[in-house]
Amino acid sequence: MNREEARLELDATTLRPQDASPEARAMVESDPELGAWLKQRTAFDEQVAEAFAASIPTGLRESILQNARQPAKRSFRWVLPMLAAAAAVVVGWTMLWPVTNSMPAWQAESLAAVTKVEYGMSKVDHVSRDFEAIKKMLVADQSPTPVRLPGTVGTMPVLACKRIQVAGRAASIICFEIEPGKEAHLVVVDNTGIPNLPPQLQPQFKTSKNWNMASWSDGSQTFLLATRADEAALKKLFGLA
Amino acid sequence: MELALHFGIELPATRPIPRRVTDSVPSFEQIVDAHYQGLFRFAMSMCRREATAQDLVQQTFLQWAKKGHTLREASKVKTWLFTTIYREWLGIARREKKYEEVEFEPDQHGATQHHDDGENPRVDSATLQTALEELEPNYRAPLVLFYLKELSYRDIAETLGVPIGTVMSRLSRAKDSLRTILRRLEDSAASNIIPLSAS
Repeated sequence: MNREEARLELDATTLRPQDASPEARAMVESDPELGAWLKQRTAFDEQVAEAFAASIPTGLRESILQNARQPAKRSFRWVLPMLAAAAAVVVGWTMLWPVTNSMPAWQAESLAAVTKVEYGMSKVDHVSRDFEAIKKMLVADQSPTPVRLPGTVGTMPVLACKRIQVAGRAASIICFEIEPGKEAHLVVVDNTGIPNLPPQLQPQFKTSKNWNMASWSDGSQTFLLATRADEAALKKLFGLA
Repeated sequence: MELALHFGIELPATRPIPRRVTDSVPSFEQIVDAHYQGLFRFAMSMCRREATAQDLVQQTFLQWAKKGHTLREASKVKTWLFTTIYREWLGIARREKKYEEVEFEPDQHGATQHHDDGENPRVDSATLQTALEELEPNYRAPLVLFYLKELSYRDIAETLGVPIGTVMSRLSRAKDSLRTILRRLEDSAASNIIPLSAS
């Protein structure tokens, strides 16, 4: 350590002499000029340190302790409403979910897809008021289109369509307006190899939660028509009401 | 409202700090008591606004409440707090563009050091604050930490993220500058004294 290095170290430790290295302290002992310089520097630093004490704002300590707890309170304030909201969604959704274990798999999958579209959880692929255009879009998507439809099902105003998967194969949802403001969703499935199908050309009606459904088969296609409109409106399409 | 403490941030008062040596575990409140004044003085000297300084201290302890338990050495609490408040201040200063890294370090470019060995100037709190404001933040930060006597020069280097040699040379230069500024302010004050005219 040379004199300049010792001076830098001593200058950095005037207020905490215990931090100075033994080497630097030894140089002070052996160098009177360095010792005098250190004494003057130390006196100045002590004077500055004394003048340094800025006043501490009243209540700062209490405020720090209080604020450290505040985020916890905020969390607590939000946790309960959020949990309640989440629970409400779960309970509400459970009450609305129409799919049951007693349904054949193809029907359960179809109804689940329809329910998601109805509640906006799943977006439609195409929107059109033209049934022919909807069918072309489905063909382009390599999704099944109905060969024929019973009663007045095919005369309802069409709204949109979507490609889905049922039993691992391409299927279609075609959305109609069954009544003003109410929709009916027709699922078209290629039924080859699918078990528990409804009989040919004989619609079966079923109600689950607030959904009314009709399902039937026609050749290699099976259909599910599901709506939240009342049962009479649904049956009317088949000339039964 | 007691339940509030079971959610969100858990105060370190109930959370032991992992340590390598077995010594008494400081609670959150003890840590606040030990350091909030020093932190406030440091923040005040850097930002020169009481409200901002208080915010910086609050923010630092909030950071401690969230992350302090990850500190593995209890002996580093003080350095951790000062490092955190310095970084918080840097963030504010950079947003306000009041701080830019000094590119040129005279001590790293062979510049000779000036030693002021004259009479010590007089110092009072108000003059000191005025003088500190004239110093560049790069020099003010180590100087304030030095005069707080809270940290060793090694800890100051760690807090500011600069080499030990740089801290020592900045301290020496800052002290010289401070003496020069204080002397100028002293002379200026003396010249403004209007003597009573003899009637």
